[in-house]
Amino acid sequence: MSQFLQQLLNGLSLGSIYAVLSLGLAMIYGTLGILNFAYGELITITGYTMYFATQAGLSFAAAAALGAIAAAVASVLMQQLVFRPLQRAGFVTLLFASFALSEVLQGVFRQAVSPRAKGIPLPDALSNTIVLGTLRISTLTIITFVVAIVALAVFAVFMRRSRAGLHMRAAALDLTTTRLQGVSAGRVILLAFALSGTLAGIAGVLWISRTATVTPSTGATPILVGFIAVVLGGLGSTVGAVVGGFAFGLLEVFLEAYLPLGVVPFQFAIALVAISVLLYVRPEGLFGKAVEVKV
Amino acid sequence: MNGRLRVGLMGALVTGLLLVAVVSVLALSGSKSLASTAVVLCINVMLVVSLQSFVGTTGILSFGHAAFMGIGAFTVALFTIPATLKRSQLPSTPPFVRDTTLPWPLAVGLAVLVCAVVAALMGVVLVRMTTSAMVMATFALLITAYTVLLNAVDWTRGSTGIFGVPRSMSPWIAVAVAVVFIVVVRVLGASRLGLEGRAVREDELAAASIGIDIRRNRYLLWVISAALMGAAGGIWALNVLAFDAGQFGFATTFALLAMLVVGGRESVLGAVVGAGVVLLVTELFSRVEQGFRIGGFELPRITGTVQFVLALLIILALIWRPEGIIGRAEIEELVAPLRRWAQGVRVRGNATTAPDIVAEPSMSAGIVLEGRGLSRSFSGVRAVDGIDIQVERGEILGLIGPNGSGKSTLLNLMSGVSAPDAGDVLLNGVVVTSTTVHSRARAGLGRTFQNIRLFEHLSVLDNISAPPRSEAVAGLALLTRLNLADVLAAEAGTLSYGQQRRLEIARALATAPAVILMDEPAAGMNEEESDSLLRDIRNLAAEENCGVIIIDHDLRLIMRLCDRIQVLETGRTIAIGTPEEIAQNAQVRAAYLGDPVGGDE
Repeated sequence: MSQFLQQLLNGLSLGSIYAVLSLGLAMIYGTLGILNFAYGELITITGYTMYFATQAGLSFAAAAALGAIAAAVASVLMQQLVFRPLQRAGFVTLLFASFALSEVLQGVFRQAVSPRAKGIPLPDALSNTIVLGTLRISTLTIITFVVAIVALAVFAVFMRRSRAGLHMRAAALDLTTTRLQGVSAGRVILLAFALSGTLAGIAGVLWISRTATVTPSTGATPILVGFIAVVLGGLGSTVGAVVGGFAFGLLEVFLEAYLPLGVVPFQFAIALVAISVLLYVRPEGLFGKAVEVKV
Repeated sequence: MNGRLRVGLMGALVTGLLLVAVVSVLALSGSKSLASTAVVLCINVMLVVSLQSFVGTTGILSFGHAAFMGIGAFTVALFTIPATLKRSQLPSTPPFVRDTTLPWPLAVGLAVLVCAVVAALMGVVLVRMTTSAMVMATFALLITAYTVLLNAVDWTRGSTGIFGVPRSMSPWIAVAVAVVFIVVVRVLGASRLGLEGRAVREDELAAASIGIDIRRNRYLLWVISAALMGAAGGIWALNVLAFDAGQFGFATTFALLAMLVVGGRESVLGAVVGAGVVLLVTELFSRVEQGFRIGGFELPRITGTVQFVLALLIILALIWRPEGIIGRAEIEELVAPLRRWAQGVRVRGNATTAPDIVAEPSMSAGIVLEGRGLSRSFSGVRAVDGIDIQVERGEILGLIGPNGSGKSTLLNLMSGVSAPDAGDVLLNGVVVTSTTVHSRARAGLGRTFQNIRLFEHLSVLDNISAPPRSEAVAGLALLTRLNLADVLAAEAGTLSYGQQRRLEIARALATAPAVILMDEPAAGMNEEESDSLLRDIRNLAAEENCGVIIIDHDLRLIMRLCDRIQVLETGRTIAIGTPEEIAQNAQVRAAYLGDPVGGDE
């Protein structure tokens, strides 16, 4: 039982990172129909910013804040430099361009920083453990969960209460009509990328705090997880992305804890097969709507 | 053999000849490294055209094909490595694997089989998804296969790899096999399956409405393309003489997609050119990567340069030419003499394979399509509220009513685009309420759309040949009749508005329909155009004994054209009768016409 509770907490904590991550990815898909492959590199950028900031003597908190800001800025730059010139291209071209962008950025990291991993010193406070009966919970697990939940809540309030949030939700439903209502498409798109980048930055700080290192390919796992969570939750649904993120985090942790040792290397494959079965039953994902074409 | 296949075959042979020429130059240059580059080029061509047969045809990006390449390579390595080497490298595999050694063509055949089985299993889930979700599912396949191959150390030795594949590739064998691949992929593209795949790529709903089973089509293309990829991967292993599980991940996927997208993903020629261009860039920059001297300068080794430069070039290429260097064209569309020849073959082929009359019009009379008590609500609004509707063979029924009265929704319920909350649809007396759009189309229900839905990037002839039942109909005769015979080779999207409308009708007729539903066919036409359309529709109904249900806001047209008119308002029928009766009906005049007939709205 305590083993189960322990894993549940770990799963929720990991899942909360995935939820933030997937939300940022789902937002861009929702507003613009772009699956941004280079989204993972935003996490890497957060990591390197934190690395250089701590090297420069800044506190961890300051480094984390800078890291998140850097991701938001980078996300906006991606839009301006790559996606905007391609705005009339189709889904496949955009997806592939973002795939190429991801490769370019990894190349830049290898050349400009180093192909090797860089360590980021974590404050001691993060590695403490709290003992609650038979449970041992690291402060990082708790902080991660709290930060992620606050980020999700702030995002939800922003989308529901603010005028800009209203514009974004309208744009996600129908960008053309939204423009006809006098909302500037350019601003909505910019805002979408900025928000998506901020979410990537927050997820990035949490992710980097778990691994304490950053490499040119740090973004690979997060982007993969993000994609899976988004499909699992239902493409285009932000609620689905968050739920998908939590679900995948829990699945990963529980598979790792309960699978026989020899099978653990295959946990990722097993998780994907499990999800495939689910998608067979519900092809539109957990929260996606079955599409009905308007003709 | 029909004209499409003959053209495809000829195009494949010309494309193949180009490859043979390039390979000959490299192989006969005397340089060993150029000769081995030639082999790599051929293998890249095999890989990319295999990928093209799915991605180009369906328009769905697949990240998963590198997985099939890996599975194919593994299968071939496993069964060509001599038994003695296998016993020492893979002691814990079952004896029949350890002790079996196959000649390479058989091993490649086995790879085809294995990949086809894996793809067939995965495809069941895949084809149910929406296009975007499918892309991500292929991505998941890549990761799954990668982790499995890398961690199944008893079989693959993980990243250590297995080696000892006997040497069997030469530039000549490689180029021969590559030409076979090009032929297979072009013929597949020109086949019914390929044509239907391209139609689905252009417009899923329109494809379903002419009777194409989208899932079946994607499933078959997926399995065939995976099998081809397995063979190409196997041959790849024959050239590198080993199998290393770590090689079938992102980098390979990226390189493959780069070749395809840079060259032009919707064209086999594009795939071949892309393979060449990417190989050239790779060769150039891998020299840079090794570090070399220019004059007195020693350039340092820079790792990862190839990948980086490739990625950068791709982004620039996409911004410059989003459809790739070659775009959509195949070789016979680019070279003028071939183009003229190909068009001749297509026209003759089309004229000879089909009888010169339109499918035997059935003389049976009676109700062909019927809706009984149909209802459908959208979030509380009852768009269609208990409507009965019937149309007989040879009869033209007009459906009118103000905006929002449920006309289009009613057509969608009858054609199967949406399901009714209540009521039944009967086609030729058979209840089809719960059947799919494509099966209704095959059972004789054709339709056109309010906002024209053609297969924009396909030629007029391909548009008309796309319906599965079109083989029975003289497409050419139809096109002649609808005055489209002189634009056969034009892309449908480039036609004038009136021509597009007529082509859409011709396409619906090519399904040999028993009844045809037309949603505002005259919208946006001037009086002259709509008059000629009116004549066409009336002739078609009479000659083909085909029922017609037509929605239009042009009352002048409806009154002159229709045998009967049904008037809807807020989802209900308020009147039904001959044009004269409708014109006199007080309720209709109050609700809809406003004033006596003669005014245009």
